[in-house]
Amino acid sequence: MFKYILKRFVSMIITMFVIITITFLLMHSVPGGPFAAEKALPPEVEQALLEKYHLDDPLWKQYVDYVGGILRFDLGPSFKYRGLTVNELIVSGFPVSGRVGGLSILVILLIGIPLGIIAALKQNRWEDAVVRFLATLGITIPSFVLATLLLYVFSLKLDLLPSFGIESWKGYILPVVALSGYSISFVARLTRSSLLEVFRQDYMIMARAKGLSEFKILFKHGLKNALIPIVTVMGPLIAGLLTGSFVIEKIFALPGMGGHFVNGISNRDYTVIMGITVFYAGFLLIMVFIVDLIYGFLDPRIKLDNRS
Amino acid sequence: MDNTLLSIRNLHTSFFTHVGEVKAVQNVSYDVRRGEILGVVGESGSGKSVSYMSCMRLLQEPGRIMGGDVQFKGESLLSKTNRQMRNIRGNRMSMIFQNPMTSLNAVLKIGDQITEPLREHKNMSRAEAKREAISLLERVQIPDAEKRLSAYPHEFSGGMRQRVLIAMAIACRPDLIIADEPTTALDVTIQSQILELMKDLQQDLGTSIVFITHDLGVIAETCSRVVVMYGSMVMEEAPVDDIFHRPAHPYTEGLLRSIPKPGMEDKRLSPIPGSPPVQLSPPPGCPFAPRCNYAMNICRRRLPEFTKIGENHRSACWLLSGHAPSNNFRRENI
Ligand SMILES: Nc1ncnc2c1ncn2[C@@H]1O[C@H](COP(=O)(O)OP(=O)(O)OP(=O)(O)O)[C@@H](O)[C@H]1O
Ligand code: SF4
Ligand SMILES: [Mg+2]
Repeated sequence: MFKYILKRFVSMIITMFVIITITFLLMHSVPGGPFAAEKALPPEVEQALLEKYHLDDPLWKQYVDYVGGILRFDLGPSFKYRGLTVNELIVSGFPVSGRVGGLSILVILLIGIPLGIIAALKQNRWEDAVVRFLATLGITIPSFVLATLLLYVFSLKLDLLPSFGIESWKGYILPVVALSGYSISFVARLTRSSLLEVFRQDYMIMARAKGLSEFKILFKHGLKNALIPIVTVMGPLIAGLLTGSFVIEKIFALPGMGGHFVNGISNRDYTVIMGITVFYAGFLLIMVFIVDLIYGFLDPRIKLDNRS
Repeated sequence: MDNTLLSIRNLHTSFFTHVGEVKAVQNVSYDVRRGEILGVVGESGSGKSVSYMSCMRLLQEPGRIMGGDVQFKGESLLSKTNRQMRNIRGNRMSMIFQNPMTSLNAVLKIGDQITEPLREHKNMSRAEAKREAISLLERVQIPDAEKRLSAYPHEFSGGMRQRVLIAMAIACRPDLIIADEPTTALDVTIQSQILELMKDLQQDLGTSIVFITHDLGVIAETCSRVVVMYGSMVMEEAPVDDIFHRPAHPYTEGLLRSIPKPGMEDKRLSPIPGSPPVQLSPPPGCPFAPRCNYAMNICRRRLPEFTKIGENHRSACWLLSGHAPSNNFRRENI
C-alpha cells in the first residue's frame, strides 16, 4: 500500500512537471506580450515593465525562475491586476469555486445514486420511466442552457432566487443545479445499468439462495459492486465540473477561479493563466489519486501494491 | 415415519419471453427422500435448474410457476410468505451452484460470506459465527482456515472456492442441499475430490443431496437414485443400478451410449444425434420422438404416460405401455 502511494506520488510529480513545462512553453510561444495591447505605452516604460517582470531574461532563465517559484508555492505576480499576486487571486477565488464544485459533487452523489437505485429496483415501471426520462433530458441539455433556463424561470419570472452573486446561501442553488444537472443524470443512468448488471450475477442469486433480506442483498452484495464503475468515472467527472464551472461562474457572476481565468485569457495575463492551469492540474491529479484509492478499497481484486 | 423430504407434484414453470412462452418445466413430479443422494440428469436446457429454482422460489423475471405444488417436509413451499421462504433458504434448503468463480461475491471477504447464513438464521454473534466458520472451513479441508477467513475470493483456486461454497451450504445443517453441477467447472482431479467431500459430508450430516448434472459418471459415483429429464419433462426415474443396467427409456439408453468408454482416447461424448427440443411451441407427443430410434406414430401424437417397471422404477415411453401397438422389441430389453 505504502509502495503504491509512493509510486503514484512520484508519477504525479512527473506529470505536474510536464504540465508546467508545456503550459510555460505554450504561453511564451503565443505572439504578443502582456503589454502589447496598450499601444500608447512609450518604449522606455515598456522596457521598464519587461525588466520589472524579468520578461527580458532568456527563456531558460524565466523557466527556471518559474519552476523555482512553484516549488516555493509562489505562482508569481499578475501582470494586469497590479500589486496582486496569482496566489492572492487563487486564495480569493478558490473557496467560491470549491464550494460550488464541492456542493455539486455532493448533490450528484446524493441524488444521482439513489435515483439510479430506484430506477433499477423498479425496472420497467413508472418510477424507472420517470428517472430515465429526466436523465435523458439532463444529459442532452448543456449546462449553460440549463443555467440560462434556471435564471429565466427562478430569478426573472418567479423572483425566488438571486440571479448573481453569493451574498446568501440562496445564491448557490442555481449555480449548483446548473453545474450538476448533467452529472446527476449521468450518474443515475450509470448506477441503474450497473445495478441491473449486478442483479444478474451469480453471487446475487447466491445471496438470495442464502436467505438474506432484500436490504442486505441490495446494499451489502449489490451496491458495493455496482459502485465500482461509478467510482471510475468520478475522476473525469470532477474534471468536467471544474471546467464547467468556468462557464457557470461567468453566467452567475460568481467571484471564483473561473472568472479570473477567463479574464486572464482576455487580458493575456500569462502568469494568471499559467498559475491557474498549474493549480487546477495539481488539484485534479490529487482528486484522481483519491478516486483511485477508493477504487482499490472497493475492489479487492485491484492489488494496489503491484499495479504499475 | 414418512421419509419423503421434498415432493414435487405436477410442476409447471414457464418463461414469458418476447418471442412467447417457453415451457421450461412441464408436469414434473417426483420425490426427494430423507438422507438420499438423488441425481437429476439430462441434456442442457432440459429444465433441471429451473425446476429447483422454482422449488426455492428463486425464479427471476420473466419466469413464473404455472401450476403444481412443491412440498417440503409436508408443507407447501408455494403458499409460503416471502419471509417464511427466506427462513428456509440457506437454512433448511441450500444450493451450490455450478460456477465457483462467479458465485462468490468478489468484494466481500470469505469469512463474511460464510458467516452470513449463520448470523441470519442461527442468530449467532459475530464471534460465535466466526468460530463456526473456521470449523466449517476445516470440515471442507481448507488449510489455514482462520487466516483464510479474511481473504477475498480471488485469492482462492476454483476447487477451493467450491469448497467454500460447500461450507456455506452446510453451514446451517440443512435438510436438503441442491448441488447444481457443482463440479462441471472444475478440473477432473479436483472434481473427484469435491465429489468425495460431498459424499463424506452427506454421510456425516445425513443431509439429502440433489445432484444436478449431465455427467452420468458423477451419477454413478455418488447417487442412489436417478431422475432423467428431457425436454422439460421427466423421462425416467429409477435406482442407480437400474439406470445403468436396465434402462427403460430410449433417451436414457442414448445417454448411456454417450458416456466415454474407459481407455477411449477421445474423451468427447458421442452425443445422441439431433438437438434438444425448443420448448417454445413443443409438438404434441413424446418430446424425444424426433431423435428416438424407436419412435412410432402414437409417439408423435400423444404424450406417453408413466409405466411402473419395478418397485422404484418408472418410465414414460409408449414402448412400455400396454396401449402401444407393438412393443415386443423393447420388452426383451427390460
Ligand atoms: N431467464 C430465462 N428466460 C427464458 N428462458 C429461460 C430462462 N432461464 C431458463 N430458460 C429456459 O428454460 C429451459 C430450461 O433451462 P434450465 O436452466 O433448467 O436447463 P438445465 O437443464 O439446467 O440445463 P443446463 O444443463 O444447461 O444447466 C431452457 O430451455 C431455457 O431456454
Ligand atoms: S415414447 Fe416413443 S418417441 Fe418417446 S421415447 Fe418412447 S419410443 Fe421414443
Ligand atoms: Mg442448469
